[in-house]
Amino acid sequence: MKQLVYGNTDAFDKIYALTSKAVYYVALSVVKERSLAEDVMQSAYIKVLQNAHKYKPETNANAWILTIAKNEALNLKQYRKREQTVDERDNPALFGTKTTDDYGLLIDIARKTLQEDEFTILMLITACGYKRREVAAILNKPVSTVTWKYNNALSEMRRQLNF
Amino acid sequence: MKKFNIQKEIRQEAENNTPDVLNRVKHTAQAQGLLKEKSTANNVQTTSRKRLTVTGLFAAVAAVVLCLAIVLPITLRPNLPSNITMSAKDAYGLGAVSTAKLLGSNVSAKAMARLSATTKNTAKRTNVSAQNDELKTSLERFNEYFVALDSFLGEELITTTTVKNTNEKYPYETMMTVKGKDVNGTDVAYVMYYSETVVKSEIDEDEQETEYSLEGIMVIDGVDYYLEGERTEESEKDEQENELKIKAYLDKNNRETYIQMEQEQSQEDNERELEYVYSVYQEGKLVEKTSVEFETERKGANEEVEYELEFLQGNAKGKYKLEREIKNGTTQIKVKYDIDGKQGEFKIRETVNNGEKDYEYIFDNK
Repeated sequence: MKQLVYGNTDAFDKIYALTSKAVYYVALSVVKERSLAEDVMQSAYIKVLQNAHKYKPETNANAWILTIAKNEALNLKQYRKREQTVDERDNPALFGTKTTDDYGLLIDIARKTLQEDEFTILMLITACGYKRREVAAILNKPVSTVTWKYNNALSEMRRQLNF
Repeated sequence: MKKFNIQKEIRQEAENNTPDVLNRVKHTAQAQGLLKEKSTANNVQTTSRKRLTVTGLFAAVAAVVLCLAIVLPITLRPNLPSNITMSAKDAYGLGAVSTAKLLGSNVSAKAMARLSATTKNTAKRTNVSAQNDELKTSLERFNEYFVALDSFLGEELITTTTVKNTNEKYPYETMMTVKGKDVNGTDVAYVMYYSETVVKSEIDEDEQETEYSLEGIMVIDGVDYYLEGERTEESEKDEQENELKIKAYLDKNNRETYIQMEQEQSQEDNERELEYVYSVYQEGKLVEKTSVEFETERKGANEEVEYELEFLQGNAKGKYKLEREIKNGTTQIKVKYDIDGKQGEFKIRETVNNGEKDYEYIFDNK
């Protein structure tokens, strides 16, 4: 993180490689739309670079970056609530047009049916490969809560898929 | 027909569908003077299995340090015994015994009576009254789980031996004897009769997954507990995960009242995690859910073991962290608790009164 303060591109490449998936799915859990989650990814990493000098080395880097991502997602969500547009692409529901955001994947089923924190935990463990203990540290929740919500998420997915 | 693995499918979907905004970010960052320009921009492949630790983050800056961070833990990986390193059969044994013991304590007042007696005796020499209602209620439930697991909180490994069953009273294929040592080093042993069947087995490149079903009876203190279970073993490269689910019934014909135990075990590099989640069902309703987690971490020449118990649902509240310590030749379990934001510590010492094992809860104000 120290190297980010000096604008080291190699350091940023490596941090991006290690965190981009987690950033994306944390954002997606809040904003619910893929295109918006992409926007959040961009703004979150810019914020990371802008605030790299504020990062404290003894703290959890994952948690720090994902907190920035979540805050960016929440800000965007709030902004869009206030600024509801009449552009069909932005509000297909208003025009009765079908959204193209759904790829028919399990991830889409998960983000539509799970609670926000269950989806976040499911993706951090399953898609991003974090251990439950790491997720607990990132989200500042007890390990057992993470386990319980993870199991709930899987049970709900099985139920949705009629397993 | 190939089993549909939700986690595996999600992992694959994420690999194929996570957008890459790296170049866009770098372009914007360079325009704002946040990043130095580089002549070539290579595509960075995201990996789903890498762990971003604070140490790993600094190591990522220099290629040599990163290599060392990967190579050294692997080459120095210890191969020492631990309470947590257990075979699938050992995990079966521990899971089955603890679940059945918990069922036993749920239907008898024995555990609660024991706690009442011991805390009353030790309250005299404490500065914190153990008669505080909230703490006492929570401790009663804590005590039941502690009793259920005490056989396996000693320093020795639990061992299981399995032989072909010849006891006609129990019509199962295998007899397993589960041996351990309790907190004070006393040998304890339990017997389980069971049959296990392979339900599914798959091998897919580097991944292997096998599923088993189990049916049997665990005998504890002369009481038969009917058991049903499922077990899954998954292995992939350097990682291994085992999941076990066991249900224990007092009455095979009454399936409304039982305890379900779900266990997950994972092992990677220097860290091992073992977690049990116990769900207590009475008359078909979930009345309590509790998590017990064991974690071992190798740090240099030392191995640290932590046990954490947390009540997730039900009347009992609280989170407890247990550490074993030996003082003046006596084993004590030090327990730190957090009940509704109130934190404190107490110790558990095993005593023998009139030939019967008892636990003493000692509360000290430091």
